[in-house]
Amino acid sequence: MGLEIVPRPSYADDRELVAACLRGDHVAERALFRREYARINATVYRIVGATRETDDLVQETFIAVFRALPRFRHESKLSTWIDRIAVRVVFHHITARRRATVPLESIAEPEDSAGSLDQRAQAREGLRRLYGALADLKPEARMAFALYAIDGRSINEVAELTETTRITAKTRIWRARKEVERKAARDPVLASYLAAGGDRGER
Amino acid sequence: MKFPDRIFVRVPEDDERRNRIEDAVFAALGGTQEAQPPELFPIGSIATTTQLAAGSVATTTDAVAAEPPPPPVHVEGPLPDHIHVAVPASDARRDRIERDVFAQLGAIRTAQRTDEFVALPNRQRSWTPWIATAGVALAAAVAVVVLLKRQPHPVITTIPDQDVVTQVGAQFTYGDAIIVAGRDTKVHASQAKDGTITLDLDRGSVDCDVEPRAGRAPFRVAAGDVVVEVIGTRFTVTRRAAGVRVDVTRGKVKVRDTNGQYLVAAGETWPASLADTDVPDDAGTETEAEVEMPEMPVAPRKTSKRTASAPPDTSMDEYNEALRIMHSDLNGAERTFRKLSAGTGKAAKGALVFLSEIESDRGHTDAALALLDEHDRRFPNSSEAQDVAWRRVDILKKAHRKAPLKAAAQQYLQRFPQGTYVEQVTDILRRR
Repeated sequence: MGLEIVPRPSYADDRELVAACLRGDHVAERALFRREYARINATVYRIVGATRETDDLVQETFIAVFRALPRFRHESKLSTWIDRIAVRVVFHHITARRRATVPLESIAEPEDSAGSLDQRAQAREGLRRLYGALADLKPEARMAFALYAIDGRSINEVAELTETTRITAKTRIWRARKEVERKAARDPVLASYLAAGGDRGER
Repeated sequence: MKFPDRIFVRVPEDDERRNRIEDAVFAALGGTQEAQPPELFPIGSIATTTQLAAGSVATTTDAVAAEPPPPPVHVEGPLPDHIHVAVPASDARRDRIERDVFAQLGAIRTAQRTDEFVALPNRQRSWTPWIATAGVALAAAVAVVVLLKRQPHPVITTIPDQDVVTQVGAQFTYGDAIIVAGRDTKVHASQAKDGTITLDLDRGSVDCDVEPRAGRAPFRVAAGDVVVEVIGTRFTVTRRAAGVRVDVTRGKVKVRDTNGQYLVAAGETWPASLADTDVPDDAGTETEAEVEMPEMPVAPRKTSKRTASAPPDTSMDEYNEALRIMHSDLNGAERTFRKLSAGTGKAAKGALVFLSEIESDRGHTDAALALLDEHDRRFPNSSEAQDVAWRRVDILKKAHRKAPLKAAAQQYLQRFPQGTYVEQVTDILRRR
């Protein structure tokens, strides 16, 4: 088996791309992956944070997408449908992990040879505490909050992706928000991270 | 004066109004509790993150005709509307995920295709002879269709203690087991004196349909450190560079690795993190159609006459293609990566990273590390720096080189305190 150099076709719309994938067109499958990867990767990362499972979750999402593609009927946008799969994959993960969760605080800090609490390290600590706070939330509230406040989705999108009503989505975000605020009130590092708007200005 | 029985008054539908009331309800709910921001979901809010953080006044701009704006309320909480979390970008990481996705899809699809194929040899069943005859005839007809349509696996019977190496896949029997080896698979079948049958899977995938073992000799599949012991089942073991995966279709298997022993039942996948997840019901209850994965035709290379302008750079196409065939033609992919690694640009960077992965999988730790060093030397400002630093940690961990591992892990955390792999690296240091 040698190398195959094939011209990269363009797909006019979702229907054409999906049809090509269903015909077993490898190039189309790769095109779909590449088109959707950045958004899915960002969404997964923003919901679960930098965990060892992030790559697996992105991978799992795409496997689920390709396996379910024959059932896609274009009743919603392809990207929305894929986002919903990603949200389900992550939700299952969060629910399962919550049962046997390890509090972040229990993980010892690594030796820091520099020994300095510079700005980046502080931001990292803030990020860690944010996801620590999110880990204590109910999975539904965590998902809704992360999608809205971190991933920048609208309330309507959150409702659609989490397959609930707009009012339920709002309630969940509100509860999560209150809880995060409550934690931040007792945690100056988290409070300072949030006050700076997160990683803004970092990296 | 007569009135009609009923008087119709139209109630205006106003989403904006409903949303405002909804917000007000939540604001009121929160008002009885501590530090409650009034604009819970400030769609259209003009308050900036800094203002909110500083506890300044947020006002709503959800203007509705003839409705006065709600009074401004002080925000006491530190939480801005949106929290910016930087998502690290790495092409090598994306490429690795892409490769693993398609490798796994390939294995799953191979198993799906062979499901039908393997179902054809009938086990002993208590059918009446005429039903059996009709069934066999039907099966034969289906088999012909399948054979014509799908370039099936050649059926062979193994000789004990021999390697089976496949290019396109093969089906063989071993005792009562029907085994389908996937593409580019190397498996060694042997039988011990006590009757135990062992398949040593060197690479690729094997799909095994095995009778219950009660009263029969044990049946095992070993894939590196992972041993799958059959209790009576239909299952698939896939061994790729990324690791070993076990999919159980029927019955149960016992999976043993360096961390312990697990019972995996029908419909389950090991490791559990790879298990299938439900998908939205976009299309009702239709069953999932099987997707054919035919070999792609080899497009003829264009031979263009040299002109004054530079020839088109096909390195990324070659790189992507090598990535695609990595799980089916590792040697071919490696040749391409070697060629590309001598060049410049993105393809060369990625090629060095994947060559290092190939060498690491072969147990050539020094060669793998040397390739990463070369990457860092030649591309000091590479966007892949974080991924390369993580690869170094991962390679040293696999090789059990404790001191360099600790140094590499500490270096990673120092350079990338918010990196994608901080949790894994921290975990490694914690365990040391």
